[in-house]
Amino acid sequence: MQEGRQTTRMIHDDHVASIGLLNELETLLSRNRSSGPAPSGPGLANFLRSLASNLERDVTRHFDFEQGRLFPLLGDGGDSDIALLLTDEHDGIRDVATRLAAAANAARENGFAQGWKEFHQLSREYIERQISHIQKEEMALLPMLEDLLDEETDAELSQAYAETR
Amino acid sequence: MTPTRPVLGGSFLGGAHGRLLPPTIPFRFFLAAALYHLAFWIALAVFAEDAIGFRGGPGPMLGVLHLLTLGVLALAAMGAGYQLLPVATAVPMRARWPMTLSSWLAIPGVAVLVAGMGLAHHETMAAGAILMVLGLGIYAVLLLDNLRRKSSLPAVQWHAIGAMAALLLVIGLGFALVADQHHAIFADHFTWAVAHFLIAAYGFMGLLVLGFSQVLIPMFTLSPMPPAGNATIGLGLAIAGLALAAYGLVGDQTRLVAAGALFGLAASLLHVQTLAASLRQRMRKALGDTFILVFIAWGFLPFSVLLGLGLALGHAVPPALFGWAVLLGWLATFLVAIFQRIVPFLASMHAGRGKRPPLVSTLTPERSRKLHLWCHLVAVAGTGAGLALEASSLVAVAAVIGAVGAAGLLAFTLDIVRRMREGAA
Repeated sequence: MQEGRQTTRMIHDDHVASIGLLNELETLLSRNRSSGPAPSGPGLANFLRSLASNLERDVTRHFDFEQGRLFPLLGDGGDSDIALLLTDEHDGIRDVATRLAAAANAARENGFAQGWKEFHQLSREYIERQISHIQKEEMALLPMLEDLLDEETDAELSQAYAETR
Repeated sequence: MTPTRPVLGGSFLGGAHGRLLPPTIPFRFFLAAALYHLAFWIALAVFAEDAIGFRGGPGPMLGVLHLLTLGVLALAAMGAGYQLLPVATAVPMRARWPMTLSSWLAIPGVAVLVAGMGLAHHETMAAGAILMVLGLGIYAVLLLDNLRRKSSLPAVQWHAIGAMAALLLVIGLGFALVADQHHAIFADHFTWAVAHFLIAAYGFMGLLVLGFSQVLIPMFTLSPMPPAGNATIGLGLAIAGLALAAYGLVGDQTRLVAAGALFGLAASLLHVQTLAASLRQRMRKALGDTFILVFIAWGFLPFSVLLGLGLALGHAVPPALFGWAVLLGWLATFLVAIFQRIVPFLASMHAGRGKRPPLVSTLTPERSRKLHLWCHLVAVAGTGAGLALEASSLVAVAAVIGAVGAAGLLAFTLDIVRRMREGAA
């Protein structure tokens, strides 16, 4: 069964991409304990670049669109409660994402000589907050939007979101 | 048919925050279940000899059995049902006081009934049975009332309706079985007791497990929702199988019982295959060690039905081994897996009311959780081996390990309640 709405599919695609990155981050953490030696290697810098870019650009773009365009629809549909909860979670994730992006950029430039433990800790928190948040959006937000969006609104929203890329 | 994301017929968590009950309602059931769980393993260790070759009838082992079925499984189902059903159906419960009342009846009711069974004291048993009939009866009526209204998740709704219908049958039969000990009602008490057991395990608890699995497993793993058609077919097969087996049992028609078991086997294989297919498409790769319990429980579901089929066909299957496979292998193992995930999750929702929700990991006491997980697995394996080999000492040792794990689960639950209160303060 394919999704009916372009907008929900685009949000879902963002989730899939984020989770792919989270899976990679989780693998890095599970192979390198916080108390052990910091990882190094040829692929690490590229991974840290992708991570920082996702945190600084994609997460912000995704959250801003949801808060600006999608959550008000939930309020109009009589379910502002879930929108408030998700907005609270966005605030928490943005906070960790900012610090994690800074740690990733610093490590990309200077290696993990100093900040491996902090990076590990921030990554763990970020993964948990993001997974829990995506869980709620996949199980609540997207099915609700499927019901709320008509074709015209869906076309307009998906176009607007595509233009933010 | 490959869904691209966890597609629900409706929203499972939508409005969940607003439909949260006061934590005291679900958590009183969870705490009571954790306490009775500890009592169950201790009692099994003490009366391990009675477990070998147990075939029902008043005495310590009947009490031990009901510590597990009513004290652990039914009370946990009450707490989870009251909290999860309104979230799944998107319909709030009408009032809170009947839920509170049911807890005041059922939680002490288990202790009274079990004491009466253990001491073979009819009046105490009858008093406990009355408390349980009222407590579980209120629960069934409240859930059926909630289920009457249109649900956004029909797969969960129909399974829950089936489970509540089975529960009403179970409590009616259970009360009649207690009464039968002084006022001869049944020509063959044992046969009706087995029917009571089957409807309780596969009907009430089983259908709840099959139904809630349709949303809980995708939620925990970020998997697509299983196709609703499979759930509907599975429900039909399960109900048909249970009806045939129960009718065949009380009518002394072995072929019907065997046919019922085959229907049940088909339902259980379809359930496991459907959820496993959904899981293979999950976005979240790391499942966490609680899924060891889920996978083992999935294996035990068809295995228990096969043992039941063997019994029906007259093969040399120890009846206690069949009970072990259904109750400990499947239901208890699945329940504690979900318990380990859902209790911290609910606690985080409560602790975060009106502010940023705390991380689930900060509310989860890992040591006690892991202690319980591994002890549970060893205890289930050990009791099974003890029952199969008719070695009561092995059952006793395994039950002691189970009790250590159960103490871990109780500590886990108490710790979460403490952390939730601190987080909410």
